[in-house]
Amino acid sequence: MLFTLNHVGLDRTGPDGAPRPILADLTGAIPESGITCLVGPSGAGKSTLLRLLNRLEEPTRGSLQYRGQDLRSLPPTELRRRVALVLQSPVMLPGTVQENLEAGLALRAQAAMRPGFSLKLAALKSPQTIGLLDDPGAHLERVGLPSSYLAKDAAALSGGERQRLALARTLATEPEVLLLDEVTASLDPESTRLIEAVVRGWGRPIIMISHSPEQVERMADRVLRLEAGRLREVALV
Amino acid sequence: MSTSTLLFTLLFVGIAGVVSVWQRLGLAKDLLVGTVRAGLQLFAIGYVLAWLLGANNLLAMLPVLAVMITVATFSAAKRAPGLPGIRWRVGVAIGVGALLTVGLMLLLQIIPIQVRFILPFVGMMTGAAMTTCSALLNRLEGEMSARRGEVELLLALGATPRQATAQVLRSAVRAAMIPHVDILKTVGLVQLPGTMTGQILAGQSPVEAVKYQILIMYALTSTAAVAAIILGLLAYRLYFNEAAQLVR
Repeated sequence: MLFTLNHVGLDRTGPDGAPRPILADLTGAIPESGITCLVGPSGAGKSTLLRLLNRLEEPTRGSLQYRGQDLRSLPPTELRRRVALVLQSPVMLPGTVQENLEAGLALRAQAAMRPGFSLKLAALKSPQTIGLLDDPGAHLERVGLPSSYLAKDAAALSGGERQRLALARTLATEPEVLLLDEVTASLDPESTRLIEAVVRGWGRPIIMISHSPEQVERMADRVLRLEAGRLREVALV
Repeated sequence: MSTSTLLFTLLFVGIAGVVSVWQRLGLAKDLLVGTVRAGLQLFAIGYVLAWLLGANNLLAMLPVLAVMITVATFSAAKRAPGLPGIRWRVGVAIGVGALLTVGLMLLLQIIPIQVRFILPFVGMMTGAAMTTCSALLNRLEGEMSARRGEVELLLALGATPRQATAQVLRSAVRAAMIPHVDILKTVGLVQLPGTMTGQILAGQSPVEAVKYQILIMYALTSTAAVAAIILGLLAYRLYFNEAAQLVR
């Protein structure tokens, strides 16, 4: 199994200071291959579940396993590089499109070495970085952006372009698994189609949250429904 | 200065008090407390200094230095009340920032090993380190909240907390150092610094006074840089737990 969840619960402190359960008692498994679509009503805890899988947050109760290993037994930075999360609203790092890509490439290069301070590839000067930036345009073209965009200010991109760059930046880290949190929720049909094509062609396990039944139908190899603290498989039509 | 002349200086605080009451600034009470405290504190240190300088006892000077650094630490650490463990980190930054610079002055024999030199220099450097640390903590808090998305994005991709906060730290250290760099650029044009003015008033030749002032200005800048970088590197960790998750 890709992920196994054992009685996972998460509480957050509410405005009154009392703990408020976000996930009550979640047990289930996410199989190894293909695209798993995570559906369910708003507030069911889907995004929280992805944050737990990427270990941006820690469960209050229970445990999670990634390929049979307890998440807590892996160094968090290593787990996150292997299980990468793309957020719903793409955050652009200050600088150019190329600098944004470099952050992803630098993280990939550093997987084999002691992490340093800088995320600039040039500052790393290690054998692992050689060749990574030979063809930065290829990383952009992979998500349907022209390589002439490399020198552009990332802040000047449109919403759809930002999301595609965010995806390219994440793919540049070469993760083993991709977690996608409604990445096409606010995009036009053209950008959505482009991102879906990249995701479908990626070939490694993907867990994606979607609120669009049409998208689930187009993309999913299986559908898991998160509702009332339970995770259950829904038959594909 | 005679006692009656000294009493006349209260006129200046009186002007500030009148403005406060007239414009309802609500500062009258603070002004009163501040005036009394400034007077008492300065007199107290004056007598302590008179005794210390007379004796030139380096050992007796140490507790005074410790008090200076401790008070500066508590004052700067107030800027980050929500960060547990910030106080000793500020203490290290101020202590190292101030003592390193003065240590170098002694080592290079720029100043002699005498209480009369060491004490005021450590005091000035401690003051600069304190304001730098306050500014750094202020800015760090603001940057961490404004750029939370950026920090979390980098964490989600596998960056270490230090990598994820590299830009935030750079901004905070820069912001804390800018006032010192600006003063370097405008000193002598905009303001005549206190030490220089004091030495000239005391009858020292202006050129000699300027030499000391140059030493002080350069040393203050170095102290500010060292304190800001040390505190930045010690403080950013407090925003994360051992699982490299943002905790505040």
